[in-house]
Amino acid sequence: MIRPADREKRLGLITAYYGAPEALLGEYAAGNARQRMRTFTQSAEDEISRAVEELRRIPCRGELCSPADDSAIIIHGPRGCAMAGGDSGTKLTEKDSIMGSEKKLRAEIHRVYNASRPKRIFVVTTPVVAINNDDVLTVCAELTGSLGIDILPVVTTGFKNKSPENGIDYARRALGLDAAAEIREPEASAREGLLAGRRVYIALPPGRAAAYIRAVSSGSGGNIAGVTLGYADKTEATEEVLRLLAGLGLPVHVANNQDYELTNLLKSAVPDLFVGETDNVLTAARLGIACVNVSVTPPEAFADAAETALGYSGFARRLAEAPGMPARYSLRALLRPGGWYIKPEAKL
Amino acid sequence: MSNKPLKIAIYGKGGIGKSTTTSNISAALAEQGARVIQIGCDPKADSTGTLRHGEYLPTVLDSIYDSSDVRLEDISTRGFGGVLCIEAGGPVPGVGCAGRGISAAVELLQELNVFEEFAPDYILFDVLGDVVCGGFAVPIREGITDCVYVITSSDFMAVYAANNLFRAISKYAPSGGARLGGLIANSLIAPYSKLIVDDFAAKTGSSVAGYVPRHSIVAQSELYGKTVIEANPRSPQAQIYRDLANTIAANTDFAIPSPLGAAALKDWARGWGDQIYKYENNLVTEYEAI
Ligand SMILES: Nc1ncnc2c1ncn2[C@@H]1O[C@H](COP(=O)(O)OP(=O)(O)OP(=O)(O)O)[C@@H](O)[C@H]1O
Ligand SMILES: [Mg+2]
Repeated sequence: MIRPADREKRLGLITAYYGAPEALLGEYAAGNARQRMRTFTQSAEDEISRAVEELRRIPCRGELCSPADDSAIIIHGPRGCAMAGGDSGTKLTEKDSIMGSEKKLRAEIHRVYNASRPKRIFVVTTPVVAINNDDVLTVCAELTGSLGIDILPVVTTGFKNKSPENGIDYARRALGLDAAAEIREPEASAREGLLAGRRVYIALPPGRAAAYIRAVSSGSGGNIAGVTLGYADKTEATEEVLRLLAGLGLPVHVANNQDYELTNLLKSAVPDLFVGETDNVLTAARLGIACVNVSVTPPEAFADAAETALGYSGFARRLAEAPGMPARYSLRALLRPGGWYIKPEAKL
Repeated sequence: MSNKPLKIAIYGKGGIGKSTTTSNISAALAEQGARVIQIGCDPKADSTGTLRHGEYLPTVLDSIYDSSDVRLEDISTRGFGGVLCIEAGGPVPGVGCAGRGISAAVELLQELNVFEEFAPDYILFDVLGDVVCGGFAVPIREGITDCVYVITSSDFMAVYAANNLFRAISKYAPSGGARLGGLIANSLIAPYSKLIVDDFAAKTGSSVAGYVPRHSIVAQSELYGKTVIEANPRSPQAQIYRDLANTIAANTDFAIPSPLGAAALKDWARGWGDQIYKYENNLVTEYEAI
């Protein structure tokens, strides 16, 4: 199987929850964690862009790819799909959607090969290619043979499942790595007493969240003000975070880049420091909260980055108060609790 | 003839005789001096073969994508009786999306003003198989055709497909889609075949426009690359196609059919199974059976 099993099925992954961590722990223990419904959802990253991001990460061992890396990523889809972040795209048109897109793909692989002689080329597929069931595997296999480099298909569809995390598995499968292997997140650096008396909000996927919670609380003496998990699943990392929150008497929020929900939660949690990835960091910074962006800060530099952010917290505040910074939500919208739009699944 | 053409779509299960019947209807109408366009909406591009003796005709889709400025002459040819033959075409089997091809081809024909410029009296769309996706419903949507004729035999799978087509028609008709002109019963052999199609029509609020028996003359004409009208104009089969063509030309009584639900269709089929059993075992005569 070229397509790894969905995390929703394999790991009981859910992307919407707000409430007691104990209840969610109970659901996972009983093997029946239910996806909640979001009656208002903001669009966020999808599996295709996440797969591309992962392709850039893996070959360079955790850092974002440098141009020196000898691979090229072709987004196989209409012009707009190149927004997913590839190096080039097949720019499929209506004609290709009717007559098949094989010819365009062959041509683009040849073009990229001749232009930059990469060591390998990834072909990332998109909804149009998936709906038409265009044959990508044969093209990749044939050109791998004739060009003598690896042409690796990444068979994302963009619509088969809800969680962008599946993109990571597609990328790993394309590279011949074990898609189901649990990836151990590296520990983040800590310094005793650094965060004493400080309230820290963490918004990260479970593995990273667990690592940063440890660095913040037991490592640096900070208090956890709240946690937003990008998703929850039946892995040990989720369990660790949920147990920790239960011990602190805090609710858990599960959301993938839901800006509105996070804004409301941060407004009531009032943390001194926010630790998250780029999209969420932008949300926190708009509220004047000092931030550490773990998308660009390597884990070993976390303690220094936290110290710097707190030391210059006036910067974040002034940024939020700058006249050019428009308010994102009306005051009335902000009176709603953060979990307002998350409901138990309603069967229609 | 008024200057507004009658636009007809022909649907039915795969292999039921859509192209054969449509071509014979076109030939019969053209024979009487009408101006006719027949458009094959099928990637096989074999709808108009017997009207043009199987000669090569580039498809609309091949032409759209081979040159930026397509003219009507490039994608059409005059067949028997001057019928303007057009094939939408589409991808080779196993790739791409034929349904989207149909909608792109119809769009191009509209852009080319074919329907106004040729000033036809009749336009017939011969549409592939069942309505498997939105693309194949394009000819019955948004006023592209006025009426639909669904071809069926008395075989259950053909009736089943017809019933599904009725569902598509009743879905689109209220928003300006084509209405049902009637059923065309094709390839009838068994004595009770006609009764089965009649009964299905009665149960679904539709009617039968004509009955075409199965006859070797159809296959024989096809082997000569011709319609029955052209190859065997004096045969009774040719007269059957002429009568059918005249019925369709005269018909203005279009309806929205009421397809049977899954359970009702099953019960209906079982009922006929019992009747045929009795009939085949000489338990009853044909007319007692209904
Ligand atoms: N009344 C008839 N008597 C004898 N043969 C017939 C009759 N009607 C159709 N056929 C034969 O059945 C075969 C299939 O017919 P045709 O190609 O017209 O079907 P179709 O519905 O257009 O098929 P498709 O769904 O593949 O387009 C042809 O070989 C044709 O000659
Ligand atoms: Mg046909």
